[in-house]
Amino acid sequence: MVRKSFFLATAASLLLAVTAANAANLIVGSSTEPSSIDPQFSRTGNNQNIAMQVFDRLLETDTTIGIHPALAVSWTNIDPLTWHVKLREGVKFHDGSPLTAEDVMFSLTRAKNIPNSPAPFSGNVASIDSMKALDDLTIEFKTKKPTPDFIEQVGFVYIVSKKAAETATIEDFNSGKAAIGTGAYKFTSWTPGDNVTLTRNDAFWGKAQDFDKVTIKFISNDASRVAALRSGSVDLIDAVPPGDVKTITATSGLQVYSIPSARLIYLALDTARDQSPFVTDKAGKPLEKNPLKDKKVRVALSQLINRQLIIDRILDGSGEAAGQLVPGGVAGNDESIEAAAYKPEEAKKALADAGYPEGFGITLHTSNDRFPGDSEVAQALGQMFARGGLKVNGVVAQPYNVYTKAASAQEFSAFIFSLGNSTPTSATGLRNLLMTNNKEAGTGSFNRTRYSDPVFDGMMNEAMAEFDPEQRIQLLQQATKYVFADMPVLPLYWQKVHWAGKANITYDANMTEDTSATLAKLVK
Amino acid sequence: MSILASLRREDTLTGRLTMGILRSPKALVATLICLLLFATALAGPWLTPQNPYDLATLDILDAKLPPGEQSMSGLTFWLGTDGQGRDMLSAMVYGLRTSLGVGVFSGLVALMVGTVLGLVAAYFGGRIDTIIMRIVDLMLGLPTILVALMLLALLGQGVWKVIFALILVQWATFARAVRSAALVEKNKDYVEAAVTLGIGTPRILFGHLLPNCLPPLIVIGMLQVANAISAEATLSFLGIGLPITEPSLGLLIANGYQVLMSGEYWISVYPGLLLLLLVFSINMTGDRCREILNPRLGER
Repeated sequence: MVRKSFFLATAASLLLAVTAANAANLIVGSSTEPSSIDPQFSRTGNNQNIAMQVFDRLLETDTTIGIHPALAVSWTNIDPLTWHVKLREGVKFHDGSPLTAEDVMFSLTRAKNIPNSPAPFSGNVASIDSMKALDDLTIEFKTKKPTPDFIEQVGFVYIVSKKAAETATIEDFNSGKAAIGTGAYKFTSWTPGDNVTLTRNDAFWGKAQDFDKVTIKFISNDASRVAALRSGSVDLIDAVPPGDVKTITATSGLQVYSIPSARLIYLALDTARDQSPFVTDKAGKPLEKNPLKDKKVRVALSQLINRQLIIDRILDGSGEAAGQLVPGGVAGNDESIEAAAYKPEEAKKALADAGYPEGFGITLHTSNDRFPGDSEVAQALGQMFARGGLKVNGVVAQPYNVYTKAASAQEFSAFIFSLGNSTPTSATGLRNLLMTNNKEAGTGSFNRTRYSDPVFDGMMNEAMAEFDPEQRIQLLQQATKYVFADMPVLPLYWQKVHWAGKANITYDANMTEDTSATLAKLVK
Repeated sequence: MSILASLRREDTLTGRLTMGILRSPKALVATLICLLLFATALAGPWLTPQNPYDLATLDILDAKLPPGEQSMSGLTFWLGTDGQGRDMLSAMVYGLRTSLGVGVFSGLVALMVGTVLGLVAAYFGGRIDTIIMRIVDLMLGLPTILVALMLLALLGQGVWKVIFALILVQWATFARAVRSAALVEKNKDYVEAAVTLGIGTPRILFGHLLPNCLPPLIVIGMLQVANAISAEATLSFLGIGLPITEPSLGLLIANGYQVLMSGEYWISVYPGLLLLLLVFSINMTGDRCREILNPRLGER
């Protein structure tokens, strides 16, 4: 009898263990950690990855940056300055209250006024002049000037609950008190430096999710993250180092999901100043004249770079050579622009023609933890420039948080940076990266070298005010062709990004580089 | 002849050390390895097939080749290449130069600074002693790596900055050791005699006190050099020590560590072994010197 009950107990506990395993949980090994749970605090990828699981936006993108209705179901352009946006019916916040026009208008107003935000959404709502609720689910927007891509701008701001967020501080979001969204998962906890946990929102308006509980562990070290997947302590990892793709693919029980992303890796050059801090003559003395101001020199530098070799050898094939801002498939890409070919002899001659037969000295700067291979790519560029006759005074690698501040403060002469494109056209990227830096107009906010070309600015302004989509894309292509002939930055490559997971889940590799439980599914 | 003779005389410091090491096979091997590594580091540029710090001589076509492969130019990479196409053997010899150079130089300067302050504190005593030793306590209370990390975050990258940081975190150890040795010595008759004879303070400090404090200093000096080498490797491993184009042993290990699991073991393993060998042999030698010089340990 005792024996029998013992067996029964064992069987029961085994059964329990099995059902516990079946109650599908997902553990994600993430390379980045958010700086806050407030979805509007920063538009950087590390924050968005968490925000998009708990909160929704008016629009959402698919894996190839096509836009789809999310909290908004339709939008109409009444006249050049007026838009009517209709919200989805029956959407409920995690606390049970319904989503109304009030919440959306509150969120869009709030986005402008986030204290200490390092990368605010204010640019997304800058075009709004006024808004008013026509009924509970319809909003009328007036814009300051004709804005054809209005919905793409406001559509990517996270919508928070007015009730929960109105008096909330950033701490209230981080503790979970104000982290009330409409998203597929509810926020449970955040242990900084360790993990974020989420639970499924059973009242979600969209597709039902496969996982009851999601844990996102922060493992920034590449080797440790891969090891965690191999040992089985996590189910899915992002930012798989290119060098590990082959071995993980060959491991049974593991799978890799890859996609060429729209993130451009480029070498920014100090094109605006007469003297540049890290350009010297061969002997190491500062140069009177900044050679990087000369278009001929920039074109020559571009020809000294063997892009395909960098992709093959350093990135193990995880990249596509670039000659412009966005890759094929994203509107605004101009197929006629090819990546600069590797022509070292021509480049040397061009440098001599430009007045630098002996080359000049230069120091390259790079981050070492922003994207796979950043410091290795910088060293390879150093090699290639050195072979082209330049004197490379050094390649300096810094952690991203130090590096990005110095780069934005114009402390460097030639530095590697990346620009992710998460909008359906090249307009946002071109406006932020290459238009003249102007806070008022909201242009050139990532233009760290202060490149400025009034002709290009004019072409962009024309494109951005064009309502006909096809016409607009053509204008964007023309602007792209014009500006990249001048080589304001040297485009290097678009990186291919990889996720890897256990065989019992699948993951939707996406061009926007999002790591989210909503993109993972259980294999049934 | 006279040098050899003096090495054999057990009443001199060098003689005691030499004979003591010769009598212990373990220490002898460690000392020989030490000397060999020092010689390799010194002769580095003439021994290596490639200058790994010259970007123009590297070719990423040669990147990540396994040990024994040949480059396009016919050079054989006996220990393989790293992700930039650097010959690992050359990179390790250059890395050894950097590691030893940084370790020995920062150790020596810290020794000098620490010795002067320690002697002054012991000899004068009173308020001077209190002030110096409280600073020493403060420095020893802070974790070495943490202080060095903060300093380098402030200063930026570069060999001299690393050396400066390492001097700053090391001098206190020497100061404390010298002070305790000098406190014992200063009450001995010969010091009193020197004072009575009216000999100047600097001469008493450096001519009389210092030579008698040397034995513990030698031991601590050697162990500190090993510590400094490890510290430099740690800082480089964390990516804030030396520039990435001039990898030291720690940086080579860090570079390889990322691809250790992807099959390219040689980028991390060989520099790791070299670092281990270096620190281990210096420590072994230092340990033996401590045994020889410490009267309480019996064996001379």
